[in-house]
Amino acid sequence: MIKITNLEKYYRTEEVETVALNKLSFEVKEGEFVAVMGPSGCGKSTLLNIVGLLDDPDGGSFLFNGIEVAGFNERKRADLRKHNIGFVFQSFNLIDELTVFENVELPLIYTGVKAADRKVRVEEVLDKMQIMHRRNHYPQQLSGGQQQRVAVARAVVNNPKLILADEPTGNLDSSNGNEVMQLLTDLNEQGTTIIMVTHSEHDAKYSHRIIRMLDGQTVTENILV
Amino acid sequence: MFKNYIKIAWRSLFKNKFHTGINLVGLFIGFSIGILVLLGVYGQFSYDKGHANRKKIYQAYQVYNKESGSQIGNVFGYPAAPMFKAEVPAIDKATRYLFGSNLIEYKEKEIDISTMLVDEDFLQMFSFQVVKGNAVNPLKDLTGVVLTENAAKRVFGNEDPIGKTIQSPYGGGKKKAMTVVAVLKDVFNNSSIRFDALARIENANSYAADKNNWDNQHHAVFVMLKDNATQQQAEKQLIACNQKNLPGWYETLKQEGAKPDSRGDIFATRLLPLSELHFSPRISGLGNGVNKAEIYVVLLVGLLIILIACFNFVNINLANAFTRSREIGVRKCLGAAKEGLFAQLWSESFLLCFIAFVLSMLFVKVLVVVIQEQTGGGMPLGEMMLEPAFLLLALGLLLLVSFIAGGYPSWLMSKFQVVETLKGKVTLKRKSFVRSALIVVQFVIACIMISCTFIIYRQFKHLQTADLGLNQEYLISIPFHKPENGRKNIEKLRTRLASNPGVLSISGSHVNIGMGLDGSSTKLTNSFGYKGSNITTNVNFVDADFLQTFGIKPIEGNDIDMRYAADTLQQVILTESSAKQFNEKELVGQQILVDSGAPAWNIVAIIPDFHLYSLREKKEPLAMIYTKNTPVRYCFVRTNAQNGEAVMDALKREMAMLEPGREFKGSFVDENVENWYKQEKMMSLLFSIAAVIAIVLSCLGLLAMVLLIIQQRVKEIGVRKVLGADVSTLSFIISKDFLKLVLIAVLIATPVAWLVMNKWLESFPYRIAVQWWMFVLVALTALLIAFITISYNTVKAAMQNPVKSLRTE
Ligand SMILES: Nc1ncnc2c1ncn2[C@@H]1O[C@H](COP(=O)(O)OP(=O)(O)OP(=O)(O)O)[C@@H](O)[C@H]1O
Ligand SMILES: [Mg+2]
Repeated sequence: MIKITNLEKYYRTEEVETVALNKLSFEVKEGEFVAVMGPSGCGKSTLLNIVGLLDDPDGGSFLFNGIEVAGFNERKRADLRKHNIGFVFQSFNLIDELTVFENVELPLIYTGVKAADRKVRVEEVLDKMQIMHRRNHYPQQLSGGQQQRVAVARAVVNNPKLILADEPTGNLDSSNGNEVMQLLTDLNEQGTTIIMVTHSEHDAKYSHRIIRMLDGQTVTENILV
Repeated sequence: MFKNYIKIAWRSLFKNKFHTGINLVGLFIGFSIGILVLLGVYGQFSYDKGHANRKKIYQAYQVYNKESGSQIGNVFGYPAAPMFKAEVPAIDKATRYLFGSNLIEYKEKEIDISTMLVDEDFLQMFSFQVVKGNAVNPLKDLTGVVLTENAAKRVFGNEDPIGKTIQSPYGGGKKKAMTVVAVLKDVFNNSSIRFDALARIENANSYAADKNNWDNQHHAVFVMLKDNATQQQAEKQLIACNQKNLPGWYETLKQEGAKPDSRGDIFATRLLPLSELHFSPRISGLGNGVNKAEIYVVLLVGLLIILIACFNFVNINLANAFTRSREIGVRKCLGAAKEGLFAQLWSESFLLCFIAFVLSMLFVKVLVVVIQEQTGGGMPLGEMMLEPAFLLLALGLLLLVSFIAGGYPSWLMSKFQVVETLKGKVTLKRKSFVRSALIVVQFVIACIMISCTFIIYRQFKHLQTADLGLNQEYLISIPFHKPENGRKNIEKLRTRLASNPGVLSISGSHVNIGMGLDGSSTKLTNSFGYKGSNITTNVNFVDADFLQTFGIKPIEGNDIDMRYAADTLQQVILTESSAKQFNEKELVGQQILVDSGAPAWNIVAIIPDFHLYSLREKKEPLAMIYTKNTPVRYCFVRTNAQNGEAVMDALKREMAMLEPGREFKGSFVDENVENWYKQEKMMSLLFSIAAVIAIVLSCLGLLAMVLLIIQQRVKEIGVRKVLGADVSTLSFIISKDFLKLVLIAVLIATPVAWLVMNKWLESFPYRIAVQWWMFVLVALTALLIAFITISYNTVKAAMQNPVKSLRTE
C-alpha cells in the first residue's frame, strides 16, 4: 500500500539546514499495523506528515496504492487524503467550538456525504466507540480518554484505508491508553492499515512490526507477528 | 455546508465576546456613518428627477469674458426668453422665472405665500401636476394664479379655491386682483424650483416699462429643447442669436478689453442641464444648491471613517486568527479545501457585519425620522431609505465592508500551513507590518481630521470676527414685507422711537448685511459710461443716516441727509474703489451725469471700501444711492449694549402696527454675519464630529491590540519583573511600540493636512495663515489620547504579581 524509497526532507532556516529525513526507505502492506519508534527529533512526525499527505517530500519516491504522490499539489493531496486517511493526534486536536457529534461529522461534510447519511454513519461510529451518550457535549467537557475516543471516531468515520496516529496515548494514563490501543487493534483486525508513532515499548507491542529510526533513517525493523 | 458555516460562526462570535463586542461597536459606528452619508448624498442626487422632460430642460446663463476674468450672469432682461424661443430653432419652449411677491391678500387677510412669475410654457416644461381646476393650460390667462395644495389650504382653508379672487403685489407694485384657476400638487422637497403660487410674468410691476429693456436683468430663464436637438446645437444657435440682436454688447465688451475664452466667445449664452442645477449654485443662483465638491468631501470623510472601522476589524481578526490556527489546521487535515475555509471564515465576518449593518439601518432610520419630526421639513429621508435603489447602494456598502474587513484575515488564515498549525507554531507576532501599517493609516486619518477641524474652525472664527469696515454690533436688521413702503415706514419709526434712549439712529438698505431670518440676499450691479470710460459698480439703495447707523466714517463729505431729499436728485455715497474709477480730483459735491439715463448723481461722501457681502467675496466698488422713491427692503437700527433686547421688543411692537399680521423677522446683524458662514460652521461641525469618531475608533482598535499583545506577553512581563524591572520601565517597554506608530502617523498626517488645508484656504480671499504650532498642538493631542488609551492597560499589566502570570504555564 505504501512504498517509500530514498525519501528526503530538509528544513531550512536562515542559518542552518536540518535534515529531517535522510534517504529513508520502507514499505507498508495493506492490513498491517506498524509502529514507528526512535529518539526525539529523529524525524518520526515528519515521516508521518508526509505519509499522511500533509507535507511534501524534498526528494525520493512515495507510492501510495501504486500511484506516485511525491510532488502532488496541495489540492490533489487533500483530495486523496480526505478519502483514504484518518488521523489521530497526541493532543487530540478536536475543535472546541463543535460538539462531539459535529467533530466526528466533519470529515463526512468535507467528502460531501448527505446530511441524513452522515447522521447514520456518525451515530454508528460513536456507538462503536461507546461515546454516544456524550454526543452533544463539547470537547472541554470530556476526559482525555474520552476525547481521544472521539478523535479515533473522527479518524475512522470515513472508513479510511489508512490510519496515522502520532503518539495517540502520549497524553493519556495507562488504562485510557490501553483502551485506545485496543480500539486501534480492533480497527486493524477489521482491515484498516495503521501506522503509529510511539515512544512506548508497551504500545508498540500491539503492532505487527516496529520500525526504529535514527537521524532520519530506518535502522532496524522488528517483526513481532 | 453554509448552515454549518453560520453555526460555527455564531459560536465563535460568542466565544470571543470581548473582540466581538469591540468589532460590533466599531462596525456599528462605521456603518451608521456610512449609511447616513450615503443617504444624504442619495438625497442630493435625487434633486429634480421628478420631471418627465428633465433631459430636455436647461437653465440659461450668460458668460462674459472680461479682461478681469470670466463672469457668470444668471439673470436676463425681459426680452431674452421670448427671443430665444422665437429665434433659436433648437429651443422648443422657454419660461422666465422671477420672484413676484411674498404675500397674498384674501378677504382683508394677508398670508405668507411666495409667488413666482413665469411664462405660459412653465407648466408644460416642468411636471407639476394639476389636481384641481384647469388642467390643460392653467397659465393661459394673464390674470390667473395657480396655487399649490398647501398654499390653497393656507389661504382658503376648506373653501374651494377655484374661481376665487385674491390680491397680490408683483414686484413691489400695486396690488393686482387675480383669479385662482388651478391647484397643483405640492412641490416635491427635492426640487430646485420652489414656489407656493405661480402667475404670469406680465403682471410684474416693471414689465410694461422694461419689457424691451435688455439691460435691466433680474430673472432666471429656463428653456426646453426640441426632441432631437442637442445642447451644443442650442448653444451655437444662441450665440448667433446674441450676435444678431445684441451687437452693442459685443462692442462694449471688446472696448473693455474682453478676451475670448477657450470656446472662442467673449460673450455667450450657455445652458446648464436640469440635472446639474442642484450642483451648480453659483450658476443657477437658486439658493438651495450644493457644490459637488462639498458632496465629495462628505463622501470622502464618510469613507475614511468606514475605512478606520474596517481596519479595526481586520486588525482584531488578524490577531485573533492565531488563536484559531489549530482549528484551521485540523480542518485542513480532515480535507477542507482552502476555498471552503475562506468561505467559512469570511461568513463569520459577514455575519458580524450583517448584524452591525442591520442595527445601523434601524438606527439611521429612527434617527432621520426623529430629526424630520423635530425640524419638520427637508427631504423625506426616512422613506428614501426604503427605495430599492438606496437599499441596493446600502447593500453594496455591506458587501464592500465585509470584503475589506473580513476578506484579508480570512484569506490569510486559509493559507496557514497545516503542519505548522498542528505543531502550534503559528503565533501572534509582536510586530507585524500589516498590523502596524493599518494602525498608522488609522491614526493618519484621525490626525488629518483633527487638523482640518482645527483649521476650519479657526478660519470660520476669522471670517466671523473679521472687520467688515462697519460696526455690526448692537445693530438690528428688519426686513420689510412691502419694500415699496420701506421709506415711509422708516420715517414713521424715526418719529415714534425718537424718545427711546436705546435707539441711536435708524437707516435703511436694499441689501441686507449678513444672512437674516428671511434668508435672502441680492446683488445689484450697474455699468455705465462716464467721460469715455466704463464704470462698473455694485449698487445699493439706502436711506438717510446710513453712515451713522453703520458706524462708517467718511473719508470726505457727509452722511446722507434727508433734508435734501428730492424726487429727481440722487444723493450718492461712493466707496474709495468706486470713486477711483471716475478719475476725478473733486467728486464730493459734484453732480455727475451718468449716461444710463438715470438722474444725476450728487456725490455726498466717499468712504473706505467695506464688506457689503460676505468675506468669501472680495470687496468690490460700491455706490449707495438715496432717492425718495426707490424701495428699501431692510430697516437698520443702531442701539447699544444696555438696550439691545429692549429695542428689539419695541421694534417688534412698532412693526406689528406698521405691518399688521406679519411675522416679525428682526435680528441682530452680528448674528446675521455669523450666518453668512453657516457653510464653514457646518464644515467645522462635520469635521469635528468626524474627527471625534475617527479618533475614538482608532483608539478602540489600539486598545484591542494592546490587550492582545499584553495577553501574549504576560509571561515575558512576569520574567522581566522577577529579574527586577520596575513598573514604569515595563509600561514603557510595552507602550513604546504603539506610541512609535502614532508618532509615525502624526509625521505623515502633518504635511498632508497642511497641503489640503492650504488648498481649501486658497478659495478664501481673506484667510488665516496655517502655522506650525497648530500641527504641533494636533500631534500632541493625538499622542496624548493614544498614550492614555495604552497606558492604563500597560500599567495594569506591569503591576500584576509576576507569580500569577508565571504560574499559568
Ligand atoms: N518547521 C521546522 N523547521 C525546522 N526544523 C524542523 C521543523 N520541523 C521539524 N524540524 C526538525 O526536523 C527534525 C525532525 O523533527 P520531527 O518533528 O519529525 O521529530 P520527531 O521524531 O517527531 O520528534 P518527537 O519525538 O520529539 O516528536 C528535528 O530535528 C526538528 O528540529
Ligand atoms: Mg513528533
